[in-house]
Amino acid sequence: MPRLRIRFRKFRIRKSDVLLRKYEKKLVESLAELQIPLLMLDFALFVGTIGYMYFSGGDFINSLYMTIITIGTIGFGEVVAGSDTLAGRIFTTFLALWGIGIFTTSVTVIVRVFFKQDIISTYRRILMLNAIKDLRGHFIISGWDEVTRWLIKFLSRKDIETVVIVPEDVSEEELKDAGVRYYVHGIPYRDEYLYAAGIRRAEGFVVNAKDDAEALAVVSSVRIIRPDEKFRIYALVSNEELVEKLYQIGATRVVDREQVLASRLMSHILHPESSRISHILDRVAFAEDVGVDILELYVDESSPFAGKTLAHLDLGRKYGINVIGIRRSNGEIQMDVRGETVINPGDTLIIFGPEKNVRLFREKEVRI
Amino acid sequence: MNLKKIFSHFFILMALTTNISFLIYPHPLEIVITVFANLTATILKIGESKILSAELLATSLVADLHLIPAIFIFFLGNTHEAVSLAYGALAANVVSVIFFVIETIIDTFTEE
Repeated sequence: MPRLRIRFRKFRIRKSDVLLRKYEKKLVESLAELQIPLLMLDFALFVGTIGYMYFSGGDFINSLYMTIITIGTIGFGEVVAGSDTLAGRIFTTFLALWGIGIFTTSVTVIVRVFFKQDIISTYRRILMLNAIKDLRGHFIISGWDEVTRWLIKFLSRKDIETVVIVPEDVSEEELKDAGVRYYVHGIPYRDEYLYAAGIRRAEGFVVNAKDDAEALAVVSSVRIIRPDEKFRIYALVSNEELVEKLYQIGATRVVDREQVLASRLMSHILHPESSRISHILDRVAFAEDVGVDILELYVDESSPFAGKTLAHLDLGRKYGINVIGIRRSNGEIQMDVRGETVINPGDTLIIFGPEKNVRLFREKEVRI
Repeated sequence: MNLKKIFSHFFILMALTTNISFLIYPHPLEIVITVFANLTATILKIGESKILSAELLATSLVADLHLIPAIFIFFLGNTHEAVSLAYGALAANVVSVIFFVIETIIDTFTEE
């Protein structure tokens, strides 16, 4: 006789929903606090109703009413038949002594459960995670300080959505004041928080870690989930020794914060007589809102630009942008570009022009 | 042996059995006990976050929403209407017990 085998497979939750399920479970479990007060109330109503039904000979509606007005301290009187007898009054006395305590305790606990900060905050987090699910092509930022605040401000000016992974102690009010629309409270190198921040659908990640160990952990965790080069990881560090290590484990670009500040200050020191131009270039380089943009375009062997002259491409007439320099494959930067300058495979074109023209060129000609 | 499990399983079954006993013999005391047994079973399902907890709570709420009007209708004198509502509650209670058996089996396999 053939044997029937039943196999039970473990229910799998999508990785992006792990944190959401955790919060939902927490919310449901916090409602368990309602069980004891509700049971006490249920029991008091049952005992009171059955008792008065016994005295009145089965008058349920009045017995229930009498129980409620007794334990609810309303006390309209002895409205049910039999409750004005000696036995009825003894029953009412004990029901009131016991039931009033139960009623007031239960109501207090029920009200407290619904107004508990923890429940409200968990509910808000569930709403937030559901909202993050709809994001595509966003940037995730880990860490919370002034740099993160400025970064969110700059990215939002460019209509780029951001999700910030912040420590548990950062309040919702603080995030709201800083203009943060999407956030996840948690540890940035833990998979459940990375998936909850929508790492699979994100365009890039900015690591603004509080220490070196965290920076290493975050960059490696993010690169394991998104090994594709298209996904960019930017790391901001304060330790020069860490820069090379972060590149080795997959960071696209590592920025030493002290060095950046010093070099920006240096540009002002070195160009005192042309400070206005220097300032504009500075702001363009730092993607601030000046109406002009700069683009670096790598030309590979399959590119339609490879082997052609700048005159042949005629980018100025077609898009209103200019090639201001070429970084050759050997690392040399050629700034004296002319119409007859030939573009070779491996070169990087430095393109400059009005922001909207650069955007149009990027959309039409740049393959991602 | 888990005391909470015994307590909640007792009331889930009690909700079904008292429901059946009221349908066999529609007596005032029977319907009062049925309603309170059902309410207790519902309260015990609040705050559970197991696989079928939502379904279990939903079936209990359905039974309550049949039985609470039924008890008032019964004491207002319309026994037939109360009994028909109690049949609706019985259907919900049967589904509830089926879910509860499934969850117990899943729990047993998960624990192993």
